[in-house]
Amino acid sequence: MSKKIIFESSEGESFEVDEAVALECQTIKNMIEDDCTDGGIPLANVNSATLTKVIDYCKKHVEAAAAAEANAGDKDIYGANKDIELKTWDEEFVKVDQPLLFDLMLAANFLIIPGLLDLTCKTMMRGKTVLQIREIFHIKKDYTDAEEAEVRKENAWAFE
Amino acid sequence: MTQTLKQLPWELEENILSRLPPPSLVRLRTVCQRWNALFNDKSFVNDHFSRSRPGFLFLGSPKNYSIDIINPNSNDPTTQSCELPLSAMPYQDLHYRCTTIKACDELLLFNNRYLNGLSGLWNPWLSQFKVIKKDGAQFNCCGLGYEIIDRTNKVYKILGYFDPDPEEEYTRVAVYECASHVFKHIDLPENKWFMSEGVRDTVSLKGNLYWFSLYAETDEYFIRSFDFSVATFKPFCLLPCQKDDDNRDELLLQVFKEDRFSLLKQNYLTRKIEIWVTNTIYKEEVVWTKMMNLPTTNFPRLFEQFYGKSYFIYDKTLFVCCCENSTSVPCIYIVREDLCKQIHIDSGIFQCCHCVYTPSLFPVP
Repeated sequence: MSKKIIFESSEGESFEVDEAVALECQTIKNMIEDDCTDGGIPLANVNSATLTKVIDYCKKHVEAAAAAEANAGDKDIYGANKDIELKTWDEEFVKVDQPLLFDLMLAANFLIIPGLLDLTCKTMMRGKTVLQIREIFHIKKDYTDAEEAEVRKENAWAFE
Repeated sequence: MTQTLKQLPWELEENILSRLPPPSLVRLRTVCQRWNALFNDKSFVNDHFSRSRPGFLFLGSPKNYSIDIINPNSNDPTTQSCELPLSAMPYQDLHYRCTTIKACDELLLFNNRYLNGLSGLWNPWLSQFKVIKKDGAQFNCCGLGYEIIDRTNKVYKILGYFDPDPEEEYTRVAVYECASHVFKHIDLPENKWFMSEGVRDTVSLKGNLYWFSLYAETDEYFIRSFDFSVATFKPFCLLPCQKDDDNRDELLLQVFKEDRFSLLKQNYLTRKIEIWVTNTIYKEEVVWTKMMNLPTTNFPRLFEQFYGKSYFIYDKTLFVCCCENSTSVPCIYIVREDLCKQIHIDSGIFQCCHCVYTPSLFPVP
């Protein structure tokens, strides 16, 4: 039996995961190494819905890594498909509404899961207009119309 | 959830932005003044550069591309091309055979031997091109390097030579200092070797230049270097393998993992490829290790490339930019022990020049 780690979401809900899955989070890895995970790890800034997704992500990537290792010896013609499968899985994984994507990104940042942080950051920014980006990030436009037009003009190629 | 209602911590905002490719980032300059100001923030520009991966800069007619590698470690690595702005380039008629672009860490040196021999430091993403003022002299740039003054300051310099005067016995070699526009002549009384070497094909590593040279006595290839901080030439190391007796094998030098070299050798007869790498150059003794032998089915002959060839090693994968032998269409080849993938860059382009570079937002000094 592998060792279990218990996470506690901001709502106080408990989630039990294999240690291998928890090790995907650099923050947790450090805690495990320092031996301070007994009695569960409270994650006051990650809610249950986000934590469920984060655990899904870590599980999938642990399984994929284990499968890749098992297949490393014999040259498996399906290797390429499996990799594409993981990428497709990732793409599906981030097809969530904007607030959840945002929370996932915050959680990936807090728990230090580089793959998930990269995935959520890039998804967040992809294909968004400047207006949408302002809305998502709660940024007030601090340019005058003339100033904005000027910056746009200087970098006209990027808007073509 | 409540967190979506408040603004992100600034560190995280910066972190997110530092993962984006230059074209997206440039577009986001219009979001707010703070995001726009990131382009002038040294630590952000450094973070962004450290997260960037090497790729190819490709100039062709009628289109120019920045080519990124995608999923390099996966079973199906590929590339993504993004059109490159040439807005800052003083003239567009490039004469590709006479054009070289060379990367020195975060900077690009553009050099064109045609027309007036236009040279300059270039950052396409910032639309910056700073012409090197030669005061009418025919100064040919060999490569860009720098001298480290302190932790944050580098003085960029260019090694080059003046067009030889038929009357003169020796080539006049000089170092051009980019900030002050001053030429400093290098006294090389025995410099007959200078022009006969691959000094036009320099590789810049940690601020110094390296290129292939030949020991006349033994007919052996070695790497010669130019150290900008002391302005001296010296032999760096012997090569781990030599060319065939007829001198037809192809040898290509490139930077590997920032502080090492890789050497690609393609056998003229079998077309087989060997990749060698060194240890870090900070070690006293240079040690070459053979990294891999690569299959060559579908792989082009590198010795018959009219428009040059660029390559780099990323982890255990070889990425090459050159033209297909039969059609002359520029391609990217991705080669590993069990993989040789060919990707057409643009089948409408037949003249080009290219180099390996890591996209950066560093302003041209």
